[in-house]
Amino acid sequence: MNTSTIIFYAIAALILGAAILAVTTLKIFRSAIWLLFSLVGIAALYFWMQVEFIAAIQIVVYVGGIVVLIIFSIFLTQQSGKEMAKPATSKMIFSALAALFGTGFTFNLINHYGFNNISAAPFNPSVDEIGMQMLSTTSHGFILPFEVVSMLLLAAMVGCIVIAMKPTEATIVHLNKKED
Amino acid sequence: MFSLEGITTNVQDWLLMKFNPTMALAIECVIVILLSISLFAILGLVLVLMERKVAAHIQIRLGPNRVGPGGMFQTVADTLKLIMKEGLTPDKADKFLFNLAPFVVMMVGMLLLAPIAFAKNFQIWDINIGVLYISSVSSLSVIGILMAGWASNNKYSLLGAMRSGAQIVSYELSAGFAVLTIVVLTGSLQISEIINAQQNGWWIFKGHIPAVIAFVLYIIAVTAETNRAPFDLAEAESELTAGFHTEYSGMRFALFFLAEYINIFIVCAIGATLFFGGWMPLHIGNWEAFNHIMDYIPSSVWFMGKTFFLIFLIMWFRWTFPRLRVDQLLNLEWKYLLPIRNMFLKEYITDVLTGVTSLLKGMRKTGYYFTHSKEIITEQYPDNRATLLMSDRFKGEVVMPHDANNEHTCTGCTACELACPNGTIKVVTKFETSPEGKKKKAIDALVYRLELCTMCNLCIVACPSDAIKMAPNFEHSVFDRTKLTKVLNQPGSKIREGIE
Amino acid sequence: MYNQTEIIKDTSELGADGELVINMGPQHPATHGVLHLVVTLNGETIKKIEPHLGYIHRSIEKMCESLTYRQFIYVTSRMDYLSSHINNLGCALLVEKGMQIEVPDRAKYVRVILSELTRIASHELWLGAMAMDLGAFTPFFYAFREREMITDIMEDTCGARLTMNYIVPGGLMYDIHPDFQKKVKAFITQFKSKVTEYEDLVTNNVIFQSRTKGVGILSAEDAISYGKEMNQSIRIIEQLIDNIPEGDFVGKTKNVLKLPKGEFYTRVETARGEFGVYVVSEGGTTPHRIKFRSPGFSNLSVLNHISVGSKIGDLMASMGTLDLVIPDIDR
Repeated sequence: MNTSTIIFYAIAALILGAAILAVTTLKIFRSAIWLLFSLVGIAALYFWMQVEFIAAIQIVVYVGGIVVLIIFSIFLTQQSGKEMAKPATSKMIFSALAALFGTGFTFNLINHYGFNNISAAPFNPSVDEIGMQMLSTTSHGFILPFEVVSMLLLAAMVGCIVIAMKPTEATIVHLNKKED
Repeated sequence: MFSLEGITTNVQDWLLMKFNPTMALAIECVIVILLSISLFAILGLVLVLMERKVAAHIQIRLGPNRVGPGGMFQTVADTLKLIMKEGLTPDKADKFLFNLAPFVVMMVGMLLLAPIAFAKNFQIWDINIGVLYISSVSSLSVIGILMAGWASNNKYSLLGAMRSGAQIVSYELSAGFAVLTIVVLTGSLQISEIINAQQNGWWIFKGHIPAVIAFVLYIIAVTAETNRAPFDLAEAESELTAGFHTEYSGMRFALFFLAEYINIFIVCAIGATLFFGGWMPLHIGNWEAFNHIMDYIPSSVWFMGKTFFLIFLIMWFRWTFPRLRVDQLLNLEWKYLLPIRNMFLKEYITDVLTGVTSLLKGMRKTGYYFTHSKEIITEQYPDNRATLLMSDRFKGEVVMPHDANNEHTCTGCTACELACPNGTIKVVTKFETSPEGKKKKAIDALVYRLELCTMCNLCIVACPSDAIKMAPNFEHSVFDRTKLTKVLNQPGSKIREGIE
Repeated sequence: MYNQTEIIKDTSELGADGELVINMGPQHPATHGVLHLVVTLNGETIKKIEPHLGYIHRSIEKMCESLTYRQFIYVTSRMDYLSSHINNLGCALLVEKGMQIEVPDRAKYVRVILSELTRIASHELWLGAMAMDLGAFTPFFYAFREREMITDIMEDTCGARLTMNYIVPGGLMYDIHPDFQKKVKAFITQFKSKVTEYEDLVTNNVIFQSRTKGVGILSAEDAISYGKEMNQSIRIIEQLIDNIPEGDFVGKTKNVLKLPKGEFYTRVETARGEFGVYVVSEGGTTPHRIKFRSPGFSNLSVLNHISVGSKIGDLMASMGTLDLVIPDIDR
C-alpha cells in the first residue's frame, strides 16, 4: 500500500464519515456542515485524481453555492437551533434498509462493470479548450445541456420568487373582490 | 544580493539526494507548513501594526509608540494578552461548531496561500487552474463566518453572519469578472503564466481601459469580500457590536482577527499578481538601462512592494469612508458593479462620476494628513508633564494656601460648608484662647472629601477671606480611597494676624 | 410603563412571524451611553422600537428640590453635558427673572459668546459621532481637534472643560480670562479654514449622503444644517467678540436667593433643542418642585416614528442625527 492509496482511503473515510454524520445528527445546521465536509471530501478526491478543474468547480458550485444557500434557508427558518425530534423506529429501520439496498445495488453495478486501466492522455484543462468544449455544437459539445440547465435554473428561480413573495395588500384586495 | 530565486530548487535537490522521494516530499510538506505558519504569524504582527499606524497618521495621531522602538512590539504584546485571555464559550452555543469556526476561516487562508508566487520560482503549488482555485477556495471562507454567527447563539452574530453571507456571495461575482478579464487577456488560469505574460508590461498598463476598470472592480469587490470598511457590515461596530465574532474572546478571537489580515494580504497579493505583474520588475519599453536597474531589485521585493501598496490602499479606504447600508451594498454590486460592461446610460455614468469624485476628495484629505506628520496633535502625556500647560483657573482640587510662617486665612466661618451643594466640605471648629485670655472661634480641621467634590467653585466664591482656592492638579488616582479625604489646613498652622 | 418579565419573555425567542427582538443597549457602541432600545426586527427591517429609560436615572429634579437657587445650577451641567453652559444659563435666567435681578451688559455678552461656543463644540462632537455611527472613524478626530480649542478656551476662562458652572444668577462667577478674545478669534480662523475638510469627508461624501438622504424625517439639507448652524454661531461670536463692554461681570444679588411664591418657566435653545426650566416656588430658599424639559427626551420620542420600516443601519443614522445625550434623556 503506497502513500497515494493511504490518502485515497483517508479521503474516502472523510466523505463517508461526514455523510453518515450528516444524516444522523439531530441539529439541522450541523447536518448542513457535515454535508459540506462530505462535498469538500469529494473535491479532495478530484484533486487526488489530478482533475483540478472539476475539483475547483465542485467547490464553487456545491460548497460555495449550494451549501451556502442551504445554510441561508436554515437561518431563515425558525427554531433552527433546536434539536429535531428523534425519528420513529419504523422510519429508521425503513431508511436503513433503503440505504442498504442502494449500497448493494451500486456495489453490484460497479462490480459488473469492471473498470479498465486506460493510458489515455489526461484531461486537458486549458482555458481555451474548456471554453471551446462548453460552447461547441459538435457531437461532444456542451452547448445544449448548458442552455437547458440555464433555462431550468431560471424557471426554478422564478418559481422561488413566486413562492417567497408575500401577497401585497393590493393583491389581497384584488383576490377578495374576485371571491365576491 | 538577497533573493529567493533558486532556493527552492536547491532545497529540493538536497532533499532528494539525502532521502527517498516519499520522505523528501513529506519533509518538503513540513517545511512548507512551517513556513506558511510563520508567514501567517509575521504577517499578522506586521499588518496589524501597519493598520494601526496608518489609521493613526490619517487621524492626526501617533499611534502605538510605547512597546519597543516606535511601538514595534505592540502587536506582540497584544498577541500575548490574547493568548493569556480566557476563551469563553456561551452557554447555549453549539460548542463544536463554535470552536471549529475560527479554524475553518484560518484554514481557508492557508489553502489560498498555495498558488501565490512570492518571488521568481518561489511558489508552493503552481496549479494549472491557479485563478479558479483561488476563487473557489475563497468562497469557503463564508462558511466559517456563517458557522461562527450561527453557533454563537447571539442575535447580533446571526445578523452579522447573514449580512456577510449575502455580501460575500454577491461580491464574488464581480471579483470573478475582474479576474476573468485578466484570464481572457492572458489566455491561461495558471499564476506563473499570468505573470510571465506581463514580462513586457503589467496588465494595468498594457490592458488599457478594460484592465483599469477590472482593477477598480477587483479592489472594490475584494474589500467587500474581506469584510473591510466601507463594507464591514458583518461586524459593523455601531450596529451589531462586533457582528459574527461578538461572542469570541481570547485566542479564538485572535484567529478571526488574524484571518482578516491574512485575507487582505492574500487578495492584495493576487491583485498584485494579476494587475501589477507579481514579482515582475517594472520595465519601460526600450529604456535598456532603466530596465536593467529595475532587474537588480530582487523579485521578492517587487512582489511585497506591490502587495503592500495595495494593502495600504485598502487601509486608506477603511479610514476614510463611512459604512454602506446593507441594501446599498447589494445595490452597488448588482446595479453599479455588474452592468458596467453593457449599460452605458447617462445617469449611470454621472452617478458613478459624482460618487467617485466625492470619494476621491475624501481620500485626498486623509492622504494629506497621512503624508503631513507635522499636523499630528498627539500629546505625549506622562512624558510632557514638565512642559504641560495647565490653565491657572483649572478646577482640579480645593486647596488652602499657607504662607512661609505656616499661616492661613481661614476663620472657620463655615460659609464654604454652607455653600457646598453635596457636603464635600466639613469645617471642624475649636475655641482658642488668645494670650489676652479671650476665647475665639478658630478652625480645627477643614475636612475636604475629594471623592465627592464636583468642582463647582461655589465654596471659593462664598469664602469671605479668600482662604481656599482651586488648584490645577488633576492626577488624583490613589489605590486607597480614604486618601481622598483630606484635611486642608496643615498641622500646626494658625490663622494669620488681622484676619477676622 | 413596561412589565419587566414580559420583556424578558419577549426577547428570549423569535417573535410570532419570524420577528427578531434585539435588546440594543444599555451597553452598545452606537447608543453613546446607556440607552436601552428594544428593537423588533423582521430580517434587517425595523418593525418597532421601544426605548427603555431609567438605566442612569439620577433623580436630578428631586435633588434640585433640596438645593438652593445658587446650588441647583451646577447639577444641570450633568444633564446635557455637551451644552452645560446653555443649561446653566436657562436656570440662571429663571432665577433672574423671578427675582428681577439686573444683569450687567458685559455678563450678557460673555454669556452669549460662551453659549455659542458651547453649541459649536457640541455640534463638532455630533459631527464626529455621527460619522462614527455611520462607520467613518477619522472625521471624529478632525472634529475633536477644533473642539479641543473650544474646551481650551473654556478651561482658561471657566476652569473646567465640560461641566463649567460659570454662569450664576446675576452674571458670571468671575471675569473672563485676559486671553479670551484672542483665543476665540484664533479659533474662528482655524474653524473657517477647516470647514471644507468636514464637507469633503462627511457632508459631501456620497456614502454619507446616501446613508442620510430620506432616512427618518431627514433630508440631505437637514443633515448639513448642523454645519450651517455652526456657521451662524461663528457669525454671532464674530459680532460680539470685539464689543464686549467693560464693567461688572456680576450684578448685585442678595446673599440668600429666595424666589417669590409662584410658578416660573424659562427656556433656552441648547445645541439639540429647547431646554425649559419650570419651578414652583413656595417662597423658600429651595425650589418646591422643579421640572426640566430636556430636548433629548423629546427628540427620542420620535425615534420609533421615523425608524419603522427602515433598516438597522438607518436606525444608527437616525440616532446619530437626533444627537442623543443619554443623561439628558434620563435625568
